[in-house]
Amino acid sequence: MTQAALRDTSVDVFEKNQEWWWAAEKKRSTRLDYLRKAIWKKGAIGGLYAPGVKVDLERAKLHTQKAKEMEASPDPFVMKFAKILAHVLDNKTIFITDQAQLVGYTGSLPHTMAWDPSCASILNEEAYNDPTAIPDPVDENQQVIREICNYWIGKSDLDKMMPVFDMEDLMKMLSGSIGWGVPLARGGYSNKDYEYIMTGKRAFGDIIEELDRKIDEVDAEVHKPGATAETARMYDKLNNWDAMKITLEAGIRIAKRYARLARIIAENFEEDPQRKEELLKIASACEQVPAKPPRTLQESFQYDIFIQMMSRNEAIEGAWPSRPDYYHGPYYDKDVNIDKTLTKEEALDLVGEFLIRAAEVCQFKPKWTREGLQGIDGTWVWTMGGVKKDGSDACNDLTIAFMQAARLVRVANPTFSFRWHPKVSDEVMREIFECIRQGLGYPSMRHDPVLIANSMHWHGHPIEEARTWVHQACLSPCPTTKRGYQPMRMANATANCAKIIEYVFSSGFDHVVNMQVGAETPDVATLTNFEEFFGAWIEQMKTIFSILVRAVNRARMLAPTLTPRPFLSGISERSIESGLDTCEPSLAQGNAWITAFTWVENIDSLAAVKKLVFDEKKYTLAELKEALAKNWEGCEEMRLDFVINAPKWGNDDDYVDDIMLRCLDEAAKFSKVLKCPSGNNWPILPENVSGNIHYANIVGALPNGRRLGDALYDGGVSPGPGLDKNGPTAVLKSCGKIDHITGGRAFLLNQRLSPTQLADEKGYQLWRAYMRTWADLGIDHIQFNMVDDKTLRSAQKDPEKYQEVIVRVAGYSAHFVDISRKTQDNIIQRTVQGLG
Amino acid sequence: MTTCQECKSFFPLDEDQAKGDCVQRVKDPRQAYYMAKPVNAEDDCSSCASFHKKEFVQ
Amino acid sequence: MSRRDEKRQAYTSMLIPEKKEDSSAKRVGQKICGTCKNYMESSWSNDGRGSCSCLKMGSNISISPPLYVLDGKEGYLTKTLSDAAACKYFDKMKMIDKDGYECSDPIYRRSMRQLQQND
Repeated sequence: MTQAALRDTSVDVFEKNQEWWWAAEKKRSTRLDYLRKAIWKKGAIGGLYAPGVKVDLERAKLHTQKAKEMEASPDPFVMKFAKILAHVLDNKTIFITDQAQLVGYTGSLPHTMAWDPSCASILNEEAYNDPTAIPDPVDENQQVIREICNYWIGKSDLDKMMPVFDMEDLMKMLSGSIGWGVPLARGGYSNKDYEYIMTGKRAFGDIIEELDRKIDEVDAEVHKPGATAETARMYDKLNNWDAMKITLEAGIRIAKRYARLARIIAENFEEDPQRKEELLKIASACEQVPAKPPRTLQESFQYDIFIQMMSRNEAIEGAWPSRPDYYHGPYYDKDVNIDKTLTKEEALDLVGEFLIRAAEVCQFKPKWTREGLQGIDGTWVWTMGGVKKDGSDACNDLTIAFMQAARLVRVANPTFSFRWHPKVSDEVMREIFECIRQGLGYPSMRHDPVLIANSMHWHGHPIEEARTWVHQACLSPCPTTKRGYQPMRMANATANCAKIIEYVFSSGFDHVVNMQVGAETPDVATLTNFEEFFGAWIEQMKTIFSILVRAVNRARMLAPTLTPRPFLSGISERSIESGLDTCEPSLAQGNAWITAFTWVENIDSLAAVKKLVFDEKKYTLAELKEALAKNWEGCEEMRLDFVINAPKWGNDDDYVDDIMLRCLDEAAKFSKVLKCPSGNNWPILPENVSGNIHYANIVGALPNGRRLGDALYDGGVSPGPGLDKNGPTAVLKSCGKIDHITGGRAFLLNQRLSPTQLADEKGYQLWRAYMRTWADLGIDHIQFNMVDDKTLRSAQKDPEKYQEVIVRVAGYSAHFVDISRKTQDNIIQRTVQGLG
Repeated sequence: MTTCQECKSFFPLDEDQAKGDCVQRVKDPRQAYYMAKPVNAEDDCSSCASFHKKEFVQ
Repeated sequence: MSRRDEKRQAYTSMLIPEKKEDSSAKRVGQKICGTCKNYMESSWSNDGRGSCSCLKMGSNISISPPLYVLDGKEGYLTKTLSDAAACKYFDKMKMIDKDGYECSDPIYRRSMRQLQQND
């Protein structure tokens, strides 16, 4: 749209036409407009990075240079690592964007993607092999990358970790057919001990003082007459504490570098008095935090950004577990309502900018992440609402401000997930509805009472602890307390579950990757009844889950020594207290889960086999096996029979719904057999991100009629696209048959609703009624797409005009134009449900 | 040899004049910003394209 | 050889070698495993590892004459850029979707460097 057309069209007209992105552009402040447009889009488009976005060589060079320097150092590894991190932070380029009030970025410059070469040689290979992401001059920089790659071969975390895994499991994992991600403590999703670090009681300076006390105490202890095994272990604790201190001090120093830059700009370059004042305020904020606790909303946000920036310099983070309205809310209240030092509009600018700062964060990621999380850098699913530790409503004015700011800046990442409970006010629900109605695809809705009970059931969190939960990644609840928080969810316990049913037909041999991956169950053609067939399914399920869990368990056990996290430990009460790395399993309650990608394909396939093979005896298993081996080629009539004449999940049909319950029951039983190193359970969590597209070419033909290459279902317990034919209540009823407390850890449910139907007050009331049914059925999750087909098809034809259209992909949102054609089509195919 | 301390963009640290920041204004296709990169006062910047000699006022 | 030894050997063959100054991409010919219909690149990463659906474990196409093992279950582990000029089972794949934007397209499952070299 031209600037003139934008100027001449009123907000009302844009809103009437549901062109929310143009309306937002007219409504937001000049500052927010500038900052929003200043973002370099970092999420991979389809699977590739956008033009102009480049790998950050500065960080890789600084890291490698210091690692080489320290090779001969007598320091233990954890200290070396902490010193390298400090070196990177002390020497990286920093910047302050015009009009910004908040500072801090993972890379050196706004268009760069931070690249940590010490994580995995396979990631380094990707940097080397992607000329579109190598900065100019490409040839010269490729040689720099080559040298960095060569240095880290055999030395990176994953290179060190792989040889100590079980070789057979490792080869199966490396095939890429059953898992997703790596078992690394520096490559996954870190939650934080927010109850320790974000409640305003302490900041880095206080922790450093505490560390000094601890170090002196233990140092005195080890020098007393006598020696025991405990004395010998104390040296490791001292090293860990020293390393934590090094990283916290580096965090304070880099903040002071930002303060200094802000002052230099104010005193030497800036002529506008108002901007000078803002720069001095930035300087003051960065001198305060993270050294000391924040005093204002701006400082509280700044503190959070610094913690995230530090954590993202220490590790590759694929998520952003957070509860910003809860932890920043008291500062909003103080500044806006009590001290009145901020107007609501000024506060909204800060909230909007906080979203923008998070939206621009990026670290160079491997292929499976780019494909599996199309359009975003990682799942920044921020948790809103919910209850406090005492069970009272935790919503506050900042909850509302976040909803309003989200509609103004319209970023696809972070997204919100709202912890609904019966005490949530109508005012808050209306704000949420407005975000969904305006097509953001978020907040997703979570059933707080169900999920608190779920955390207590699966992992034994005490109720007060369970009530602090945040989304560790897209969906899984995890507390933010000393013992309850999980320092690292290693993503490779992510099962490509469609392989379970596929392997039943191949006796575990994977014909796509040419390897025996699953269990060697009997030839499917010899099975004589559904129970035998289902028994083979259970065997394959157990085999796949076990391979992935074994790898994570092994990595979790080795993490404290092979891949320590001194910074994350430095902001964790349990590590400050014990002197152990925060990944040490004995310190944690244990909050593991298996993400179950491509789960519902199993249900529809099992139902199709039961009905057409065993009940109606229209086909034999031998015939079906042959048809699948041929990818249904030459069997189109038969294939359509399996598509059309077999019952499908999501239609309130007990025939297939009962199969879902049986499968979940078997998985739940096995979840209690599988144990994490902290001794806790491994429940499953069906959801997909965009793994349904990533795996399209990896999953072979299935009995639900799917062919190799077809997109898989959009995931969780969502019905297959277009297969939920009995209306929205039938979908809820099917999902409501699942026990969302004991059946698994969480269950993703996508729904598409008509934006036209939900346009006014009547629409809001329809949605509230629908949500009441959802709540009454005890379903733990639901999320909505409310963009009509016409807009989406127009966006496919004319992407330039629809750059800002956002859709809900799975556990996250993305700009529609940033996802691959296959994913776009998959979203359009989802049934638009009419309510009422 | 030209060194960083002779450049307009060099801002020494109060506590250690031998170290400082090279502060520059950048306009990229999406945003304008100031950036700071740690340098030493004595660093050779003979080949630095951004070098602008500092004017000394007596 | 124990089963564990076999897997270790397979893993060793997949380790990332040191890169030479003249990149291997510049030296590969038109016949590389990555452009063969029988090749499937691992979905796990872009580092160029994959397997053959025709030759089985124990094969070796880098020696002269090549060693072809056609019996067995598990595929021969090879790499996108492995020279397949001498392999008599090489079957050139038809190129589709050259823009590489369709991430699920098989063509994308090869490193972009290789894609450039062979287009």
